[in-house]
Amino acid sequence: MSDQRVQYSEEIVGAGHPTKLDTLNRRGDVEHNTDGTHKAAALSTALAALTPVQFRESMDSACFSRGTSAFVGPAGVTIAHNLNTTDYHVIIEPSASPGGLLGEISYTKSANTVVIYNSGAAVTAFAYLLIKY
Amino acid sequence: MKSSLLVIDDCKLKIESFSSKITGVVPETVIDLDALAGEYVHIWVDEDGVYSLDPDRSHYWHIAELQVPPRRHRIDTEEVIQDGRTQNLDIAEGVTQGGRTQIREILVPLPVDLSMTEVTTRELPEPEEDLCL
Repeated sequence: MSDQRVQYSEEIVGAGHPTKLDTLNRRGDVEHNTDGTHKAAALSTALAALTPVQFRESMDSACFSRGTSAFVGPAGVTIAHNLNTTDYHVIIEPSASPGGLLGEISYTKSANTVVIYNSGAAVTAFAYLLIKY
Repeated sequence: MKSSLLVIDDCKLKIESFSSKITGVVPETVIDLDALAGEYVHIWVDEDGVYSLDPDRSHYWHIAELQVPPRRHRIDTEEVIQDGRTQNLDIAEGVTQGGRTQIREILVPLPVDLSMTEVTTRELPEPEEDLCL
């Protein structure tokens, strides 16, 4: 966002002038309503009204994705998500014993899916957590 | 909306053109999968609108995935004449070994046939507001 301060070359003009822009309140308007309350207050109120489960689901859909799946080997298992970016961390946690057959784990990220590969023959379960950064 | 894919010439996938906010217009593309017989293939598109099958890096969007069937072979016979020259003969001609020639079977590789292959396609990218706080 550009510099919102009143510059020396500008006139000091308040709100409601018929032809000139409001320079006096310009910077404050970025994060405040006209009554002085914070714009973020509405968001805070909305978040406070959520139950813990609703809050978690809301955050999950925007910033996290987690769940369970199973390895399929070098073909890779595809996990769909709604993060809409490739800027996320991938955490994989095998949740069943692969009996030494897991091999190496790798992944390919995209904005709509992540493909999880294991080089071994194990097709056991895992839990995943994708964290947007 | 999902991407539209069509099998052409047995072993090629034609992906219809589409556009998105990030990639712009991605032109219609034909991908030859003949060299990938027997492999599980993921198809991604990058932010510059170029398709990729490379699992070793991130991509913008995961478009489709499929198991490319293994290559099949046709059995032909080859007649080896004593002076070293060879001549291909079809086994249906009923050529028999004898005289001054020698008959041997050879495997002739056939193009990969994708006509019965199930291709999993994914929703194409759409603009989405970032809700992460």
